[in-house]
Amino acid sequence: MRVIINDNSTVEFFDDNRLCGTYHYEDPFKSYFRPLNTPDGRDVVDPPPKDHPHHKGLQFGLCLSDVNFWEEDLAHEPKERQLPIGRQLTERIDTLPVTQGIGFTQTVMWCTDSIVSFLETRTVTVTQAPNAYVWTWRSDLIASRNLKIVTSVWPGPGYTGLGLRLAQALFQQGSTRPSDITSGATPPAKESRSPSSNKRNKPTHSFYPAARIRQGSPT
Amino acid sequence: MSFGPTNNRELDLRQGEHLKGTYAVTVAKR
Repeated sequence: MRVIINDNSTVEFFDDNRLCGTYHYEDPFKSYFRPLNTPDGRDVVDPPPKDHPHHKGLQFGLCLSDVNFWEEDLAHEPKERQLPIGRQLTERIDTLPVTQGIGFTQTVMWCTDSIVSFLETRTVTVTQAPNAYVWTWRSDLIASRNLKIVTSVWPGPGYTGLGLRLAQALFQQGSTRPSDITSGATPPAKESRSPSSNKRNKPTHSFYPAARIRQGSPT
Repeated sequence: MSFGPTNNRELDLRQGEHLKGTYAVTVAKR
């Protein structure tokens, strides 16, 4: 497998000459993967529909009490909570040394025009498994100020964290695993197992959900 | 669908604190 950072704002992952996924890192609001392909070349994410333009692919977002990093314009924010729109801006992106896997590391500044909320180090790698690609997405966000992460006001489990809009074909003949994971599920938080990356002895809040997505056969 | 640290709970972070996480996503063919 191999990874290429293109000057045109994308990172492409290949299995031989098959495209595994494309990561867009110069989006004005958030970076995202689309397509995200199965080994036989089927994309498991849908493009954003007109009524949800912020559903771009496999992406990571949060909502703070005073800045929204999920929706991307007032028209699509909840009417009961209209907040300034935040942006995740790429400060730097590099491929990883081969010894650290096939992937990239990205420095992301979470900000509005007037305030910075987080500096993030994001590392994404991919490995091969039988009939599958296994992606690992690591995020380490450092709060740039005192802040509060809040829950979604939308009905249901909410829309924050790592999210994607699955291709509709998956809902016809596919499945999500583990089967007891539902949209917005929140596995128990665990302490970080990477103390070396938190040398300043600051408290660390961690989350370790895992999603397994199996491609169905489109009809 | 989404998986994250904030669903159904709020979280206060002070300046300098970390929010760290790892997601694994397997994209497989049947």
